[in-house]
Amino acid sequence: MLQYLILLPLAGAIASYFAGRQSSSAPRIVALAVSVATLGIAAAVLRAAPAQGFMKEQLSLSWIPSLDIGFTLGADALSAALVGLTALLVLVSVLASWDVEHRSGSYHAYLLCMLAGLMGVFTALDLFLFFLFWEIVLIPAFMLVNGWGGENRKYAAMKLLIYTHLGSLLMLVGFLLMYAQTHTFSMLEMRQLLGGESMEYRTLVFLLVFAGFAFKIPLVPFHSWLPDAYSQAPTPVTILLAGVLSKMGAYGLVRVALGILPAEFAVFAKAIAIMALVTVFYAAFCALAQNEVKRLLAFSSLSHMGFLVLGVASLSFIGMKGAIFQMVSHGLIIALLFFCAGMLAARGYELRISRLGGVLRSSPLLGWVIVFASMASLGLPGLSGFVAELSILLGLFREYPVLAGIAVLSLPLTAGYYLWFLQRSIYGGDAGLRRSGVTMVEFLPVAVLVALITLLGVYPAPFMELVGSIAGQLVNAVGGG
Amino acid sequence: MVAEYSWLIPVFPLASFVLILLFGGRLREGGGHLAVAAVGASMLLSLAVISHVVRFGSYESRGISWFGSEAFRFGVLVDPLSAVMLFVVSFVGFLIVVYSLGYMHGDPGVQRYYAEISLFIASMLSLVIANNLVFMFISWELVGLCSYLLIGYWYRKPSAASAAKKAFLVTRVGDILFLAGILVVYREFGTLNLSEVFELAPGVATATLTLASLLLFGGAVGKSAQFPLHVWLPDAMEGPTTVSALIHAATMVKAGVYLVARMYPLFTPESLHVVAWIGGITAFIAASMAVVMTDLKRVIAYSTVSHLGFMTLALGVGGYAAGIFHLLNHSFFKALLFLSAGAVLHAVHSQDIRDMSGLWRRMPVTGTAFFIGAWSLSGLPPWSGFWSKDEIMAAVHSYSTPLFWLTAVTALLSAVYIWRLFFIVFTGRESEQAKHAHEAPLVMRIPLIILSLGALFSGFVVFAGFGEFVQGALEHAPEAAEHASGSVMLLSILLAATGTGLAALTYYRPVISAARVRRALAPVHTLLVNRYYLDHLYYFFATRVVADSARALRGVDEFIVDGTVNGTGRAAVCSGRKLRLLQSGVVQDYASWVLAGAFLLLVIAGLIGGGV
Repeated sequence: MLQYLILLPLAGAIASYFAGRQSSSAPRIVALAVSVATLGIAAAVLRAAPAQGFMKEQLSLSWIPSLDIGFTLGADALSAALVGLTALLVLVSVLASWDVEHRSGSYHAYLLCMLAGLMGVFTALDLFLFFLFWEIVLIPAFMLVNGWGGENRKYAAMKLLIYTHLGSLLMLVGFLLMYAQTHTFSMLEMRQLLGGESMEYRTLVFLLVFAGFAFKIPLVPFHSWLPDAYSQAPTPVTILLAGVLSKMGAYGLVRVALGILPAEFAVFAKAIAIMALVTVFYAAFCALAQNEVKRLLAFSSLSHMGFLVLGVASLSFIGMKGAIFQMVSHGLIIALLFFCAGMLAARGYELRISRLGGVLRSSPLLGWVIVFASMASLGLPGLSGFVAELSILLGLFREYPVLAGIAVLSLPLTAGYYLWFLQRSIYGGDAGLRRSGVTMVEFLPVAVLVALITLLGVYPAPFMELVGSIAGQLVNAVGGG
Repeated sequence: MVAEYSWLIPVFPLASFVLILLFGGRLREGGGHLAVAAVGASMLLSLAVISHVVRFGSYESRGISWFGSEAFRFGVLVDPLSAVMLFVVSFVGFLIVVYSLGYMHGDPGVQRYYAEISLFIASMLSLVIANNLVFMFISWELVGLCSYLLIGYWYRKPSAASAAKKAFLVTRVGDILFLAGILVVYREFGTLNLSEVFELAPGVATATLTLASLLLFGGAVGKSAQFPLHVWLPDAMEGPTTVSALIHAATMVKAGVYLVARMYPLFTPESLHVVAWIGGITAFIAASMAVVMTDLKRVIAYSTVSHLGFMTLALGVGGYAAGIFHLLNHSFFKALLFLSAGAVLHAVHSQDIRDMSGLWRRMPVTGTAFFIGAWSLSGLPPWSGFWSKDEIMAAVHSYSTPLFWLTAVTALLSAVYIWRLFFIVFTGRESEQAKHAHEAPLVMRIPLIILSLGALFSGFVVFAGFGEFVQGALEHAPEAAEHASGSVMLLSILLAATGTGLAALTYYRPVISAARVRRALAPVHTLLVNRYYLDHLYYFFATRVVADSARALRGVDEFIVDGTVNGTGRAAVCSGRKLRLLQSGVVQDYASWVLAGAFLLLVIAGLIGGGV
């Protein structure tokens, strides 16, 4: 079943490209159909996930036998959660791209390529395959920013490309070093085989691999591509960059860095936590000083990713569950926020905070959704963001009370930049636009995201139980509790 | 058994919230009647549950797992303490929602008002009956959200939007302390279930308990507007007056006091000492500011802060029952004062007391209601405020002498500021605005009358064993403070009478000139009018420290971090041009480079591989 998650979008990408030669509105229908179907498969994967246990091969084809590279896929609860998130957000992104007319065939083809690559990253059990998909995601992302972005798109796209490639390169060197010792790319075997290698060797490998993920998440100081890419990318692409592509880094951190090299992770856990904490505050302060909506959201997203890494670095059961929860929760919330930014732009609002104003007056429903999304992002209890933050903090406090104490101080800061933004742009001010409603294409994704954010926040138990065993195994590997 | 259904208490208003949100536009009064019905149902069920607690004692349910972990089972705990609070929230809440039908009539956003009020009452009720610290915290934040939304109800007014933000952020500072307290409790106790925490508390190190209880108290300081986080409450008066009465006088601001009372088993003598002094200081500084303010609602707001200080003080000095008793009485007389002030604002269309004068003739019912509220608040016998204030003073008296005198001065100021308000607004010559004033409609007057009865008579529950009942919430109740000794009671009456007399001599029969007093005490007056400069200090911190360092960091990010990146890029392009020169075409050159490279690789391999 997993292979269809990849094959279907690839086929869709080709179909979309050719459909684009016929008419400019056909590709979006193809993309919609494909992403709905992929979501269906993702739902089935999610349903089957509890039975899968921890990293088990579900599909295994010998691919390049001479190098022992296999086309092996598998999906446990962690993968399945991200597969579900990806499928949902790509669908949201397709709906957000409803008005794209310019070279729409290529545009949608790139979107679907990205979907295929993402699915591959989240299900690959072979490091070579993982790396291949990792790169497959990057190229459409570059093309989309470069071809359909804002005024400064060339610069932003190039920066994105160079940065992520630099990260990929370090990661690749790490993978090759691992291969050199173990002669396999299989994630499942590698961990056992690497156990026998010397400490220095494994440390070097770990640092290379970690750097690769740190570029992608990103962590300060590897973040400088992010604000430009997020703000210059077309909004539907930003939804994916912030919502899912950032999760590639987080997923890699958990699956590869922690999953394959747990002892090394434990050695560096405190350093990683400090780096994440710096990211949380650095980004929160930067967000406070932004005067453009998408840049504000970009830094906010960065800050929340820092929180996620804090949860992983706590190496505690509850913190790990919180981190996995945050992967999904942050994906949903940031997608909703950027979707709203897209809706604002579509209504003719300028996204400069000083020019944006009176949204509640001219588009009341949109205004309240922005209030809701901001509240979710600042961690209001009853919504999903709070559950993640609470469990991350509980876990972190058990291991590093001082770091947790500092992390708590970031919460009023986050509340500060969101409330200040709401006051200036949503309640107050007046952009002088006429009243406008919300179309069905806009309403559906908003309603689904709002419902999911609320549902996960009000009753997180089912999700927590889903990811509980995997979080437990990850943490047990390093002897945490 | 009716207590098994207590989880339904918050469900009614929650359902009302959802229904009004979805269909309120199609209902009359924006769904106001639905809200009244839902809150009324909650009230009836609450009364039934309360009577169960009175007759059979506490009830606790195991609850459902919220998080897939035993530490997070969310259920219901109703004991004497939550019973008192349940009564206050549901009963006063119901009266105020009824009053809203008149007060908010014709407001264009009234659907939103009733949705938010319903959500508020639902969250407040669940806060009261929660059996788990996280459950409490969730409700705690939701009431804060509703407070934020309702303060900013008229969001087009910049001052309202700004006050809403201020309230949210200042209480957020307290909230993170509460959260930190939860982290400590979870780490040390391994559970967040209240009764389990209480059971384990005696076995935990005192230092840990002190830390945890002080952090939790930090949450109370924010929510219950205690010094130094009291600054948000006076600004919160930007919301509709019904909101001020319900959220910012009768219920939500009591949540902090309730939290301290709820978590009482964790408080050590050291932390209680802090609680007592914070309460005493809050009571005093707020009362002193109330004397000089000229905005009708703000005076009452400062008075609320001051009385919340009294409750905190009472809990701090061990007067557990006295604090809860004052909480009950205050809810009545303060809601009454706010609602009658609301009726005044409704009639006069101004908040400045200098625009009001001689309203008694035009608004006798409102005037009487205000009079009763003022009498009760000022602590003159025999109405409710007198009894609880007296118990608090007795408890403070046996605790600390300096604190007792601070409380005594505060009690005097209380009488001064509230009678000053009454005499200025209702007596004297009719002002221009007062000529057009008229009495509020019936739907607003009936709640006033009921609250008046409460403000008059709620104090008498003390003779029906209220103290013993409330102490029943504690496993190890502190020694009940001895009932007011005759001299303390006499002093208390004397202080209230003096305060009343001073106010009368200044504002009713002007023997003392207020202007002359102001001139004589000019520095003090300036200090008070500027609210002890605390708001200035916070404003400075928010704009000059936080916002400026954010701007500075943004500069660092854009010029230094990004600059380095762009610089590296340029350097790469440049060095590419330079490196081209290496491609000399001379084979010997290439060979030497290859050799150097191979050597370098060997060195690297040797260093890291350790002889691979």
